[in-house]
Amino acid sequence: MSLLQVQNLNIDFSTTQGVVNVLRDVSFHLNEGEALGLVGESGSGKSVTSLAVFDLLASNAQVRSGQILFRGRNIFGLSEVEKVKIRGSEISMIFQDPMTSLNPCFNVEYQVGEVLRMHQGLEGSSLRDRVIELLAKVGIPDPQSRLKTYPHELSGGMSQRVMIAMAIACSPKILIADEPTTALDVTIQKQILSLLQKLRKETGMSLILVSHDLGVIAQNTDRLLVMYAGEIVEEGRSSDVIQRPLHPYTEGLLKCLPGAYKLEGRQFRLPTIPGIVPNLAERPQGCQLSPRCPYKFQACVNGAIVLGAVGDARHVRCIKEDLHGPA
Amino acid sequence: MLFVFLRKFLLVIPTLIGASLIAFALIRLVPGDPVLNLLGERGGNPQVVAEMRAKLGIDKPLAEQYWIFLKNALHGDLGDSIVSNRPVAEEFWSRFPATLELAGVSLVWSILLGLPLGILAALRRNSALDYSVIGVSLIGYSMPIFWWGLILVIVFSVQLGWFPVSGRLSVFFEVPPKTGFLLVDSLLSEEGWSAFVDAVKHLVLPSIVLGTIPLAVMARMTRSSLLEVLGEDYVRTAKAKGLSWFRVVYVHALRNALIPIVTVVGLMVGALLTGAVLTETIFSWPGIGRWLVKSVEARDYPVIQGGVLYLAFLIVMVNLIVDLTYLWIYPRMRSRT
Repeated sequence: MSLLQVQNLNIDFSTTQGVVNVLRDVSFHLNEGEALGLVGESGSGKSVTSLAVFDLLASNAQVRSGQILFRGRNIFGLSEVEKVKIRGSEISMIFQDPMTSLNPCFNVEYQVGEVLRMHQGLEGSSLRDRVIELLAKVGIPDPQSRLKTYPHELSGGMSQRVMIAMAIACSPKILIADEPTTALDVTIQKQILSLLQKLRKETGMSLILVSHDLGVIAQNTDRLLVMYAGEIVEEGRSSDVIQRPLHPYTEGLLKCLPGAYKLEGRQFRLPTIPGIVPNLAERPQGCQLSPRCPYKFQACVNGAIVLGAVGDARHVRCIKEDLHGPA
Repeated sequence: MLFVFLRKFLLVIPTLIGASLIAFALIRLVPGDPVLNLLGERGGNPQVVAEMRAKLGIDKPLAEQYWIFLKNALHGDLGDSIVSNRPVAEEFWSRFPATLELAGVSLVWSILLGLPLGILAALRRNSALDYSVIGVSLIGYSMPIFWWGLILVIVFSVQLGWFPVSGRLSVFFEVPPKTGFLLVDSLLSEEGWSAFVDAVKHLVLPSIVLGTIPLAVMARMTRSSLLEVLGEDYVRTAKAKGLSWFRVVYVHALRNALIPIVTVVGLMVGALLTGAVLTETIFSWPGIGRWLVKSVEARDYPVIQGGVLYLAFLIVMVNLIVDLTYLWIYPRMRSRT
């Protein structure tokens, strides 16, 4: 059985524009030791999905239906005490902006140590030794001298390393990295991503990597999910998806990658996907991408498109190939 | 760190000089003078008046008077009261415990009530509780102190008879002053517990009146500050770490929310020490505020100069403590300043 199974998750947000359906029938699974990518534009539901795994959604969010099974137990059915036990120890998370994700009032030792004190009851010198060990593990030079450092004295990359140290402190089964490198510059981005890979190999934990950057996802995950307007539009092994995207949206995302445009021959401008993500309060009829899709058929706007299986471990929410055959 | 402290400390000097200069100048701008006040409306023999003026030193040029005042003040001598002939310092310290006791009790209850109310309102945002906290604190803040004091006296002292109308202690208690704080002295005296209860009863109404505005400010400030902090990324991190709700709010959020709250408490201490004038007058509380008001009426120059200088010094010290508290709460400021 999969480590994590998300089944038919529907999440609504109550906003000033009324109730907005943010996640629509999202289902996926995560295997032990696997790196799963979640890719999509801003507002596609990536972060909501990852926060839902923690049941840490904003107070205006409401889970309408569906469940998230972690080792067979539904997260939403757990008591607050049980959830608190899982968060940070069995499933942990790092965030987009490491500089604001660390508490400015407490030093590194306190913030990393807190997880260990809460979940493992470590105290005193064994706690300190473990913190030093963790800081060394995430590649912080001279960890001993960094213990009393406050977040404002750390660079962005260092802060993210501290966040990672905190996240892996209790050897979690799953680490969710929500745009872990978006706020960092490119060289640091690479270091952080390879650190995550290294840690995953060492500890055997599963990784959910959330990003809007298909390139980052492709290089760092085994399998990926493409999300659009709160729906999964494509799923498959990362290498397969990159080589042969089936959904027009995935195709659009791939074309948008700098570097990819050369393959297209005589193109001088980076291509973009025309239009914008639909306002979730006024969703389009049928396929959510239809207003922006270059292949649009009449059938696309007539009714909802289902996520259909294509061959082995591959799913796509598109009827293009059904109508025309493989492109 | 030491440098920060030294710099803040050195800034105290110009502040005190400024305060003393303003107090010195303002009271002399007020029409009338202490000698004519002492001699009464009909005045006296011009020669006697001139002699008295010379004796008090107020016949000299203003600049020279200020210089003498400053020089003596530096030696710890603030002069004698023109009215009572006792040293200003002695008069100040005999009244200060009364003011401090009242201000302290008011501050403590307003914090003990305002902080949790603000936290509750923030955590139950947009609930009936939240709206009542906002509403009541707005009323508390807008209410004129003298009116509020009189209403309380009419209801609780005159009609219900629960609390005394004025003063610090009933006349039939004999409490020898040791510390000046009646809450302490009463327990040390022979009457002991019953005198203590009486002192507490005298404190209730004045401290409610004096603490009302601080309470309102505390509750509102805590609420808005905590609401802001609860939306921060590090609060989400704290939740994701698997911390209990209690730790998330009281350790991670509240510590950050304290910065504006500490600022407000600092300002309130200043306001409580000096702003007790109205409350002390309503309740005939023998403190600094009432003493200064009476001295202004009598044009008691040394008392006003000295009293203001003392208060200015205390307020500057409170501000210094507030600044140091920031550094303690918020490490980022240690490197900024």
